[in-house]
Amino acid sequence: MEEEFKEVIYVFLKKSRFFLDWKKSLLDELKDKYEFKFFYNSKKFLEYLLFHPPSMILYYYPKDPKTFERLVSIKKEFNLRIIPLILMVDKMDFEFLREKADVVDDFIITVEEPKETVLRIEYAFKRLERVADNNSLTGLPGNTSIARTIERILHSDKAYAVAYVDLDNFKSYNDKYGFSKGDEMIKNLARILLNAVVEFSPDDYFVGHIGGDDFVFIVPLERVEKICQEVIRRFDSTVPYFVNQEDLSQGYFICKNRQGQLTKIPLPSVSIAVVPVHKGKFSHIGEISQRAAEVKSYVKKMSGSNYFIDRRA
Amino acid sequence: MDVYEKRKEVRRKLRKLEGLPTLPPIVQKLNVMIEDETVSINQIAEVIEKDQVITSKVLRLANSAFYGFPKKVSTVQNALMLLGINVVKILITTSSIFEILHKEDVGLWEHSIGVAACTRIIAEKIELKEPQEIATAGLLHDLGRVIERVAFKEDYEKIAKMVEAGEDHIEAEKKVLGIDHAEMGAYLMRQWNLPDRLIESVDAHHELKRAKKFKREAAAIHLADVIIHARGYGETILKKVPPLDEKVFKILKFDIWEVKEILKVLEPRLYELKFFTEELIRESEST
Repeated sequence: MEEEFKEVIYVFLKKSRFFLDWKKSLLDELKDKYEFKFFYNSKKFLEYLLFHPPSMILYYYPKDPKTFERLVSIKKEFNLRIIPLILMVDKMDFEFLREKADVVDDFIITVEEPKETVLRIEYAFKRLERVADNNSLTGLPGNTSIARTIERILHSDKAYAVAYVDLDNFKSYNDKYGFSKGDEMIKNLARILLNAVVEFSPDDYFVGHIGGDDFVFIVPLERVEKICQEVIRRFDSTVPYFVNQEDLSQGYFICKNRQGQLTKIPLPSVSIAVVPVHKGKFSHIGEISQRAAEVKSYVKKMSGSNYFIDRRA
Repeated sequence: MDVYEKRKEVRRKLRKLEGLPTLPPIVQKLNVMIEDETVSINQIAEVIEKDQVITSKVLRLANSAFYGFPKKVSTVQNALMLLGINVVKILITTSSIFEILHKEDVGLWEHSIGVAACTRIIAEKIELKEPQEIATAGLLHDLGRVIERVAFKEDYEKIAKMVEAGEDHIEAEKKVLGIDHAEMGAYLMRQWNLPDRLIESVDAHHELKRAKKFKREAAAIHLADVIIHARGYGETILKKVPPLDEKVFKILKFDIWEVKEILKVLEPRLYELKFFTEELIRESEST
């Protein structure tokens, strides 16, 4: 997504002339891209970590091994595992570094060329983007990336729309046609979402897969309505590929409901709940998903494919 | 610097404020409790509820965007349920503490837990919903004073002198800082994403008209503040009883004589609290 937001990197260091130069060369190279915050005091470092988790941590181990253990436990307990942690050491100690592999993402030898540090930082971010949490079925980014993106647009000056997409009657469809057909339909929806979003908002978009038949896309607010219409049009027009002729012509299929009785189930359709996000309107991801749930319950009451934009302040 | 400029500067500083210190005895007590497997989450919550700084940190964490719980968390008990005990452990080990136990800090601490207890009694009496939430607001009502003591030391000394010379405490704060302690506490609580009910009742606890939605909550804290001062429990910069806004009786819909009933319930609570704080201080001095 295009925005003014800079990833924040915390660097825990020792005060020394060596690091003064090191710091300077790091900043020369990267200060336009990332926001660095340097810490020399362990309490302050841990407190910031708790209340303002950064996007990456560089930790100079020899300065304070005890605080390092705390840092590792914070990462575990607070589910901050996703934040890449790069260990800084003075020399290559094979056994030591091997032992740290469980909790550390990469390491830097401080006496090496500072440019190497720059590369490690860039590589770590790229790796995160690629492998972090993509859904194995659709290849779309998962909940961590979704949360990060929403976090970003919360602070953006531009108005965005967060659209929650899911399928109606998907469970019954799965029961009747089987899981592999169901997976096909999920992949189809993923493709349609991505295509529509890329076509109508090529310079600024995000599509994520929450799981199952739940998706999210994020685009500039003024483009969302058109995209919703397009997604619905395309999805409805592809449904025939996924149901047999008999069901298609009657417009429903017969399936056992939860009580075990045979009932008529409408063909799968798509529901989109849109939550507009203006700067300062929400301070919390939870507030957005709660809004979305409210809108969703409303959209779900309508039959067929529908979208609804929450116009409340 | 004129008052307007000063106010801007204060707010700028507040936005960056981190690491409010708390009193060593309570941190020591919590450290012991956390290591003890037989201590329950509720017992830990009860102790945290007696410290405004740790309480504010726990609530801040539970309401931070990072956790993204769909509803705002307003009590320590609920926050601990959601965050889990390990989080509290880390929070406490990273909390900074006052290096020296000043009489003034202890006085303000006692005042705050006294007001929390009294606010709770009033809230229960007039049947406000979720009395523990209002007690929490009562606990946090003078958070601005802690901030003044820690982050605006020189200004605080100035204010203290003016109050001693007979000036009204709120006026003195407004003259020196451009903002009073009630607004300051509320400002930070808003930064921290705490629930509106807490923010507004803290903001309005000296000027009831500042409350819009939570008038009764603000009035309950105001009355509790006056009662605790009058009772002489703890100590604040005022060193005397603050003026009582008589509108509280109208807002709370009770008669001034009913205060007597509150005092009856309050007195044994204050004894318990005194016992608690004195024992804590004794324990911490003996280690």
